[in-house]
Amino acid sequence: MAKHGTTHFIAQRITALALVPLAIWFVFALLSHGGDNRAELMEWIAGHPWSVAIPLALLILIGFYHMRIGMEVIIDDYIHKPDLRGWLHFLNTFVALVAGAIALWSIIAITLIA
Amino acid sequence: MSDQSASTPLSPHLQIWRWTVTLFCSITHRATGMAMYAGTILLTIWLAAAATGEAAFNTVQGIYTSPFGLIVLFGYTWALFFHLLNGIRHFVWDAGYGFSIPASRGSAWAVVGGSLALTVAVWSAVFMLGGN
Repeated sequence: MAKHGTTHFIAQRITALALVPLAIWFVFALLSHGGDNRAELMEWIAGHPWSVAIPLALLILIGFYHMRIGMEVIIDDYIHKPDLRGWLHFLNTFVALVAGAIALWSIIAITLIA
Repeated sequence: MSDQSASTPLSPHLQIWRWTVTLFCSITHRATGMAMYAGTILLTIWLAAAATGEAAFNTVQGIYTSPFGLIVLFGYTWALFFHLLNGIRHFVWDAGYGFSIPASRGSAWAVVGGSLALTVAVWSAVFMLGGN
């Protein structure tokens, strides 16, 4: 993302703004559901698509996007070897995409199974 | 670094700066962001285990609610509150306020104190609710 500073800056802030209410909601939701057994957790997610499953998916997807662009800045700042830097940029994108896809798949699967 | 093009600027190293609370917040914002990258992978594993089956979920839940797991989750909670509050501090700066030395120092201490207080409050609630 080097040479795309303005886009990067705006995307970082927009995702940050979206994550503020989502993160606060999630911490308080976990107070009631962090200790759930599997049936309770699945019922909580699947039974409340609009107030749980979708906010949870948004939190994770926007979160991974935000973390990916944050990590890009860190890699650009501290990794000076061009080959290693390129490899870490690839790894960063790969991990964020795969983890985001697994989380989304899990939420959809839970909603369909429960 | 000898092959580095002369056009790429390098930051001075951490140890040459005098320690200040504003410096602490700057570094810790990055550190907590990186910690939450890992933490959100733990959240993904939790959901994937629930989607997979009873045995997988019980294994993951067992690890997360073990003493070691709870310490990690406590740290994740603090990282989240720190990054959240310091992120709001960055929004205030983006809006053009709070740049004076007393203001930035005061807001830095507020972020440190606020994140610790919120973390302790949340985990007190966890244990009072008798959750895990």
